Amino acid sequence: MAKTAPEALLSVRDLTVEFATDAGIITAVDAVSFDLQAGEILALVGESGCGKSATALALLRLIADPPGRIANGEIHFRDRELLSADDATVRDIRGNRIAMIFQEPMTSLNPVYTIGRQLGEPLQLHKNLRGDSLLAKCLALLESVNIPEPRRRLQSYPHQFSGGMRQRMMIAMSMSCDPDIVIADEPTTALDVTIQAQLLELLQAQVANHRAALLLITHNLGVVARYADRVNVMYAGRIVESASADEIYRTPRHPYTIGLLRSVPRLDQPISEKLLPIEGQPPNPLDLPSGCAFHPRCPLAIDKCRAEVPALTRHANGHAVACWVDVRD
Amino acid sequence: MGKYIGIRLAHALVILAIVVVLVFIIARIIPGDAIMAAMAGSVDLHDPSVVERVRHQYGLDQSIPVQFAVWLGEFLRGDWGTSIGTGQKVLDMFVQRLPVTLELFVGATLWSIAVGIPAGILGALKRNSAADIAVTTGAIIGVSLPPFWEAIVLIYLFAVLLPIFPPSGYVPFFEHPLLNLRAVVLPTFVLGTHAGGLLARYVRSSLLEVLGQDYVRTARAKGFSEAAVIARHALKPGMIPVVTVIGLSWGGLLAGAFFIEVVFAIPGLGRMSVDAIFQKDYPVMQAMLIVVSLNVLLVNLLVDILYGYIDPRVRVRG
Repeated sequence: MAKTAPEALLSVRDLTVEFATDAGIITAVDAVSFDLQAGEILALVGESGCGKSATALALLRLIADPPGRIANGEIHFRDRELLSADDATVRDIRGNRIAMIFQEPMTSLNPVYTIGRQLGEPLQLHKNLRGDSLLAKCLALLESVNIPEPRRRLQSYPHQFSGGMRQRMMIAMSMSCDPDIVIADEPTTALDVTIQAQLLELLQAQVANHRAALLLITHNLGVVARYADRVNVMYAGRIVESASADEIYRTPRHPYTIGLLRSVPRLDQPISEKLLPIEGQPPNPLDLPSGCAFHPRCPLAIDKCRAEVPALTRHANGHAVACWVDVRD
Repeated sequence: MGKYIGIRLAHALVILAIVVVLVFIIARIIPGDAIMAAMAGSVDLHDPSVVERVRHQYGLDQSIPVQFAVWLGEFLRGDWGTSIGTGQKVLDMFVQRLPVTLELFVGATLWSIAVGIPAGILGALKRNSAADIAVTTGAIIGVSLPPFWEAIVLIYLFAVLLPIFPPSGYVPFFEHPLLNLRAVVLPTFVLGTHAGGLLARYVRSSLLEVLGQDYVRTARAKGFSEAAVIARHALKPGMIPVVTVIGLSWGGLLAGAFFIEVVFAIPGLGRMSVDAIFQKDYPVMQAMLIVVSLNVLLVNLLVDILYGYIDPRVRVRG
């Protein structure tokens, strides 16, 4: 188990999120622990359904209840524990100290209100800005994310914005109260590939300017390589490997991470070399395999993998991995 | 927005023109002859010259297109003809009765909004609670109650057992406002019951749908309290389908007015229509059909404009 670094801005311990379905209870996030340091970019990587979005939503207690429920865990942010805090405390942090950018720019903005009104809401709520000072701040925010004609654009409705513009507006909105942490849940997945890089550059520059930490939820290892300082790889609701981005690329130690990396095309790779998909299907969350959830798909699995769940164990260089097998052997 | 309203208005005018033509044609092709019926007792219908004279007097011996042109011209000038049943000017009959029925419609709509919208919101916010079950059950009862039966029960309860309201009758508002309001409480409630039940159900399901939208989650992520999330981000988009239901209900109120005005002895358009239909009173029926269509068209136009106001996406589509 990773130890709490003293300077951690956000410490998540044993976070467990369950969803009730007709077929039974799904444990979407299973005793996840990690730290987020001030100013760093931490990527949470995994296939869809691995629990990374549920983790992100749980940090701000935004899991829809029902059907979801945060069953266990602690989330320490500065001197507060968010899961036991009262609603008013959490509301005061939302959009203010911890801001969120969602996956779907098309549906995450209210269609019946103007961009200006929605952009200004966190400032009204948390900074008590009104009138001219609010307008001036909103104009500056839109300018900072390179939206042309900001004065006119404040009067626009979301449907008059392209997907990329909406997501830039979301970035601007997330920065409006100078947050300590920005959580971006697959911020570019719904957008054209051509503007994904542009948006991520913008996001990176914005969090750097505001000295905010970024928790970047993504399934895209290319994005991770380019922007993240550290990486947590999730599989079936658990973190299976955690290391700096360099370490993950140079010396991945979990067979799942290795599989993920092999399935991504690389420019420096000879064309003759084939991409290797990971064999099998992601496990059914209602009926997870015994032991390590990855063992049915793992080429290196031994008997112990079928019987016991490996704990996330820390090695040199802060590299932690949850695997019974040492892949270097 | 101006262009959008212009387009809606043009649509409404085209439909009105079609309605006017249809109304005229329908009145000519339904079987039976008002002249024959009206004159049966007073003149000798076996004398062709008498019949011919009467037909000539009413212009019925001319070709259909000429009859239409004459009728339309007179209609537009405010000459809506003379009622065969009462001998009164048709326009005067409408001017007398329209305010009465309008008051019923407005009252019924206010009832349905005042009861249906808060009930629907309550049901959505307290989903699956006892309050929600009460709302959905009440809504089904409201939608399925036959108005004449509800009227009789309410008259028995609130005019006979507890004599709070008069059992029937009508006093014009400007004659005696208080008596007028007392007289319309029961009829407007009965008339608005169906729409109220419908509204409660639509508001509930529409708001539930909106509360599941991503933008509501965005509002929560901004730090708004649940009450602020609903007031600032859920209510307005949730009202989009509700406006349509209010408009449709308004159009359907006339059917209810047929019963209500008879049961409560209210001298409005509903009772006049029933009388006109039984007496094959063509001038009144024709005017009635046009007024009814105009009513539906105007309400739809209003709904469309409100739509454009609530939902900016509609304005662009036009």
